[in-house]
Amino acid sequence: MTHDLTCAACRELLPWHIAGTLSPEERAAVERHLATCAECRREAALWESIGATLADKESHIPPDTGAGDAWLALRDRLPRQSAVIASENRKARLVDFDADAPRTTSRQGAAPTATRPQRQQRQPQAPLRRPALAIPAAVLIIALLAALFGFFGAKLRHSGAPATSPTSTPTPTACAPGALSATLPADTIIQDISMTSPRSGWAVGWTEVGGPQSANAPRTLLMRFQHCQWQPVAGSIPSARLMSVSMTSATDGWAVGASVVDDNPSPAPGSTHEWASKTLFALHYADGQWDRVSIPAAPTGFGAKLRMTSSGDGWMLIDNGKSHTTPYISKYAYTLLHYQSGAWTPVPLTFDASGSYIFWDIAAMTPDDCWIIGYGVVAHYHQGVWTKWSDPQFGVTYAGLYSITMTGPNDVWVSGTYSYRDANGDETGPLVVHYDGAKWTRENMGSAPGQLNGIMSTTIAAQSPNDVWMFANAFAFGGGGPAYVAHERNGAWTWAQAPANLASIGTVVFVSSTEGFATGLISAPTGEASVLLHYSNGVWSAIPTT
Amino acid sequence: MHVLDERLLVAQVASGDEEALRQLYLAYRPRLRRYLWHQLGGDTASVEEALQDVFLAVWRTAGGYRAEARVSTWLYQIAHYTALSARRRLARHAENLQLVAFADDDMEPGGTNVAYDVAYDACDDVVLNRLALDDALDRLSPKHREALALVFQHGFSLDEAAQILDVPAGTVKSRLSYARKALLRELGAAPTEKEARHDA
Repeated sequence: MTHDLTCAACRELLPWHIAGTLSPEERAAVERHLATCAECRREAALWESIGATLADKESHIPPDTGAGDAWLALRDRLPRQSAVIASENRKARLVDFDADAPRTTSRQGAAPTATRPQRQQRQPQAPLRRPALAIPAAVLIIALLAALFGFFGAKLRHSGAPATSPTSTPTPTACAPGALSATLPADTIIQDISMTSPRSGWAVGWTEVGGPQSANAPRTLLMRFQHCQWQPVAGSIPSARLMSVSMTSATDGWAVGASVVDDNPSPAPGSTHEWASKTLFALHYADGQWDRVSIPAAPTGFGAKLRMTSSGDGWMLIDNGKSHTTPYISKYAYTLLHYQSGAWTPVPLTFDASGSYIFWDIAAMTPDDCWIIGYGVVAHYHQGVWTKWSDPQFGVTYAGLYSITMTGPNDVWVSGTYSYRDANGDETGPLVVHYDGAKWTRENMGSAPGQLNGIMSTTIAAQSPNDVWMFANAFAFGGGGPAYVAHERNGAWTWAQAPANLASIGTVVFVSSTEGFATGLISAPTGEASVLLHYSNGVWSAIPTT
Repeated sequence: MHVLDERLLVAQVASGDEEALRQLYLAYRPRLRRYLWHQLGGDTASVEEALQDVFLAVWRTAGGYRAEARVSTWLYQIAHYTALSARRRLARHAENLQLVAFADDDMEPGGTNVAYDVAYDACDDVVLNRLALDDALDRLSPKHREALALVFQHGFSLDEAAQILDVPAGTVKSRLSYARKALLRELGAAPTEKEARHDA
């Protein structure tokens, strides 16, 4: 082949030429071009320097002396084949949902009984269009926010809560807008919120004096909302965090937390303390106080999410923190506990035969029935039977699902991100899918403002079946990015930038069709700080802190 | 290890052969350890944990290995995702700033994907300043470091690198291009400076 390379073509090949991995023909073509092109020779010299410097760096890696021990440690962790086979046998109860096939009935043939709310016809997803002019601005925003290098903290796992409807007692009127306030201790992380009425509720999290890497262990934080004020309650648990709260009424509820241990108590220079969640515990609210309850069924937990449906039924999805660093997560890395007849017992996650997922959120409204979502999966459990849906049903090739909300068994909303490729490479865009009791539909999200590529997570919550909010926490790796708000009303989505300085939003709860609360993080000069948000009259705003 | 032997090993792993996994582990540990080292900021504990996770994934998913890809490509793919998840976990802690990607670099305003249009006539000075280059490489974002590592230090072709990173080949090229530009920028090699130097 005597076809001569252009400079552009030669330069594209240079990295591999220097690395020595070109085919003989390509190599010859490059060398022919270099022989006559001084500029490309300079280019090659640059790559040579880069390659040589990279090679130098390799020599600075300490020699590997731990291979033998490391193998033994790995061998001890290998799941045994017998366990895999046993769970395969339970596959017999798996129902794989096929949109075209008649739905396989559950054991009791208990089809959802709620009537289907009237909905407008969903349009098929149109390709997202990104306004070209918005791109530079969005890059600037992201760069500026990244420069704050606040850290996302445990918020990375945050997702939404199902809408809570008011209790059957007469709904108290909302607080006057100016009357709301919150007293937030310093260095507070608010993780979850659960309201029992427009005038009462609880939020949980922890305080970490000096930040998460300080020598001070975190302490639990319980915040109570009454008299239009958010106030911390006395009595925090040392060396512990609270991760999730779910109230069933003003007089009953649950919270879940974990005790923490410093995995790095004597940090070498350059490393920090590592307060790692170890043993899970639950708090049960009854008779006006919170009592600690141990959870024998799942002693260890990295994170947990609670959803109660009543004082006698609820769910806890626990991340065991094991084998948790690849997308190939074994179903053994999560534990699902069901609260029934006064006890928390495990429900095996048998809806997947071979693969594995990262789960992000759980929703439940009726007894013995829950929904779990995560990367590429939505699974619905109903009285012993699992139904599973995955990417093809959502119309995308890779659905990163973060948040689920429902107003009923036939009105389920899931939000997250989806991956796609365009001329600029790989992107992530906002994804919302809706389940009407029979099939999944992908929402047409319309034109998002700016560049919504690179969404880290989303939160979705429904005010009512025809009024849904989705918050997208945009990308700034390691720090909070700008948050965007999408609002669906009667079939159409509109976008707006979230309240000023809102870096990300965690849990969103609606107390009525016109009022709601949320947890979030705002960008502050010192990094990111927790904030409680209030929604009313179409506007989200931060609750002033005292 | 002979290519055919590797595939056989993977097949044996899929049938539950621990010894086969051990051979695969010992054969690939050195490379993957180096690869993960830079991905995880030289944190020994994280690297060891990530290595375990890679091979646990190999153990679980060996049955799904498609022989069209080289075993090395498949293993590095797993390592890539492992490192990505580990970095996300580590990035919750502000100390690990060196792992923070500063911006969505591929989206430079007005830039094309593969734009070797930045002249750097001061290249001679740049090339000689290896210490500065070493420093500048440290400041590259993880995904650009990774692209460079796969090409220069682990010997993967364009298509293989694309498979490992799960991006189109064009994205691999643009990441290399961006890395090159970022390095030049760090080293202060701009055309205008060259002019100034001439005048001096």
